[in-house]
Amino acid sequence: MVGIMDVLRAQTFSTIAWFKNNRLMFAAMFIWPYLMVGMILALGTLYGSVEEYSKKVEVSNPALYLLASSVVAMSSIGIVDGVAGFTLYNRWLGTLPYILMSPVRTPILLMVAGLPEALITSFITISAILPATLYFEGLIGVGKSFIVYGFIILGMLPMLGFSSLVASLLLIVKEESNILSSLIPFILLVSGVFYPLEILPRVLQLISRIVPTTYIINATKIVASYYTPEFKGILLIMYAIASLAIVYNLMSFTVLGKAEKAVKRGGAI
Amino acid sequence: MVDLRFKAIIWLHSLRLWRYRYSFINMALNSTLWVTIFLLGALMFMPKEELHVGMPLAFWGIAMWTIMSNSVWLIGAWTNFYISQGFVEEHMLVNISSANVLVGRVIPGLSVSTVAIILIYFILSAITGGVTEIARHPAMLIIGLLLLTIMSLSYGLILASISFRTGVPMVLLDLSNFIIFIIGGIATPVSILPTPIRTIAIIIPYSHPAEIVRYGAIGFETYLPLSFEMILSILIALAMSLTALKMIRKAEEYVRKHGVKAIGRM
Repeated sequence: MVGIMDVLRAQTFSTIAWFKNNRLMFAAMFIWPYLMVGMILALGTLYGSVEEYSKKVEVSNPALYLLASSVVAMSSIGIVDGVAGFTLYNRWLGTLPYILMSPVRTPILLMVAGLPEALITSFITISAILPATLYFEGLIGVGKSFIVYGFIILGMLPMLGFSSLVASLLLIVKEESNILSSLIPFILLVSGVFYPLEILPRVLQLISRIVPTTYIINATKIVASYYTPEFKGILLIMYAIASLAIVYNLMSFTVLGKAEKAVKRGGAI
Repeated sequence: MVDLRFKAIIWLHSLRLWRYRYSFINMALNSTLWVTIFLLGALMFMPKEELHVGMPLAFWGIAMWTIMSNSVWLIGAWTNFYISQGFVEEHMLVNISSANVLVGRVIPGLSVSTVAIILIYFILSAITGGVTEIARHPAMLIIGLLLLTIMSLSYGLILASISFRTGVPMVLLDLSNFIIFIIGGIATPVSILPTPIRTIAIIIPYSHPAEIVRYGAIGFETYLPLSFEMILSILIALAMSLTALKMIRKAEEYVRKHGVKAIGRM
């Protein structure tokens, strides 16, 4: 009998094989966080000063904060792309009907299939910034990076449910266009990934409250801002992430089940 | 016959644009949102009292980058699709040049850029209180944008011609786009760049129409005399487009003998 573990094993193998066959892409993942931060720093310092950024965003080390935020951003992309993208890519390949007919229940399959890729991708990106954190803050910085990785993994719980909701939308909407590619930057935009949320219009600030990435970014900011991060603030963020995880996962199970029925009735492609 | 082929290519790209209208909206939104994220981050470095000066510069920098990167992506990345679907051979058999088909990508390319630039303008205006000036010398602005588009289109075609013969990893396209944006006089005027980078910026072709665009939009003085920038930009645009056409013709000849190789993950 095929179960969750078999899906996880197969997807882990698939992800590793993909990286082995795309070595340049793998190498690029180590450069990406620096490229993102480099672009903002270069553009920012041409327009103004790092001190101004520190003051406005309220972080002591902008470079470290920007690097950590980039990792959170890339990990969020990884989980949405891994979970929701799985549906889309298989539809493009024409393999979605076979996947839907597999012995594993579709909601479970769609929820866990993207997990190995998301975990591996976020581990690679956090590893990529370790030299920089070591340079800026020594071993404490490395420790902080792993705390951020912990938040990313915790944040994956609600993101898993959230991405599954998107996956069910992709199942129902019979459009081959990749609506995911707009959804990902929208999530990052309302999460205030490189700037304070207060600068966004009120409506986007309200949306940001239901986006899990917002809380991971906030936790990252606390970790990057203080030598000893404030425990109370972090605990509050963890409560928020846990609440969102319950809500999104409950919703996704119901919606994915209905989407599965709709697809099996009307066809997957 | 030539007229009919021309019509067919225009029809192909216009029809595809309509057929994939959600993709088109999605592409425009995608560009807009990514640009806004980076720009908002960069604007946090700018003191509030300098925003009225910096914002128009930033907006036009981003607008030009959108044109540039969309041209590269919508030609470069589409070539991947075009080759992998076997369209090169199919068009050869009916005696239609792939170069002309790829040039037609200017239709979706410019459409996506136009929508994205308008969206970026409205988003930035809503967030920062308004980009006050957008066209002080409209004629100069149009000429600058036109020259920039020709250069971007030619660059996209050069990439496409290379990808007919050898694999060009898409990651490198991203990297080169970022680098050109920062050090190529697109993000900021050449005169604001640090001295060593300024020299590099002058060598990068895009910096010259970019200077004309900024002069046309907000009256920012060009680094080299305006008339010289104009002549130089026209000559570069001409040279780039001729090189692109020559390279793509050569690539077609090569493909007839040896077949094609795709870009990207393939």
